[in-house]
Amino acid sequence: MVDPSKFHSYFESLHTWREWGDKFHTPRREAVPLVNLNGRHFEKVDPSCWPLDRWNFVKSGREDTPEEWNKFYENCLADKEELLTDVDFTMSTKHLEAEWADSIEDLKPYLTRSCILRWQAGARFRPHVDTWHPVRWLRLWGTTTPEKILLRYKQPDTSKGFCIWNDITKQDEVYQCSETPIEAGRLYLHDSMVWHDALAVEDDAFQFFISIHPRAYDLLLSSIH
Amino acid sequence: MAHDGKFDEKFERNILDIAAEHGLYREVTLTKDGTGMRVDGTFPNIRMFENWLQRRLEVGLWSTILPSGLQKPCYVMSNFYCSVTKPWLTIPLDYHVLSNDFKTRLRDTPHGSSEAN
Repeated sequence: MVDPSKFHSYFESLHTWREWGDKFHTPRREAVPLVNLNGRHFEKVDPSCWPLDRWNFVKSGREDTPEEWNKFYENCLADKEELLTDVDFTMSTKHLEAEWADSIEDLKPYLTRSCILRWQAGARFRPHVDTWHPVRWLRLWGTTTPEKILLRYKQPDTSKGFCIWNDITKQDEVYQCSETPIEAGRLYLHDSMVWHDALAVEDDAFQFFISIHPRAYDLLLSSIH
Repeated sequence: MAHDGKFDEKFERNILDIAAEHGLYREVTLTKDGTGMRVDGTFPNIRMFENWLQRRLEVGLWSTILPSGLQKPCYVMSNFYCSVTKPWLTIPLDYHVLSNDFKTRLRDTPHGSSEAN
């Protein structure tokens, strides 16, 4: 559990926010790294603050077309691509040394690619998955501004929810937020093997975007409350 | 199925994306008379509703077409075939009704300023 006031006093004064990836510029999606490849917190281009699928796609040298993207994504899910993955990022940055992070001290040795996101209203992650079998990392998610962000999972019940076009499966799908009320500052073990998306409904929506090594599983279980 | 394949796929995809961009929450319920399905749509806040409506009117202005993607789950849920058109007239997302309120506003609004982003 992170103290939202300590979190905001630290992150709202930062001037090193980086744009999330190279493709969508408005509404703004920004990030700062907590754990990246080299521990430097001010890199102008930092893959930990990119959509990693997009980073790997760009680095693969493929032509930037929807068709090539879909082939790439299928290969990823079938484990047929050489990818930079979350567990390759192990160097913590100075942002993790600040007071706001004291409450997650036990998790720090296990953290892999992690950052803090700040979105403006309308910013999105389109439907995607972040993890697949065999699971090599777990994902934690949280927000200090739960009233500003919708994290939504694909649901078998299609009678109610957010009707969303999934451009990867090429289907209309229905997504819903978790029934668990989201508490500001709490980190949640997030099943990112399930198709999900996210949408900011107001400006300055902050999110924890954290991956963690599966070795932390027992610690996570013992921390659940 | 009455609506599947009726609309151009790009139009369908565009409409759904506009709805997703603005957080349209869709709930489907059986009408009281049991002859059709009712779709209620809500938005996270008034700002997103206004932005959605403006974008939606720009794409298919005055169109009464509901994207079939909003309706398809009805078939999944109940194998309901949309051959009875009357219940759809009660849908709150009736663009003829809604657009009247925004017609003047849209006319007076510069095109560039209607972008949600």
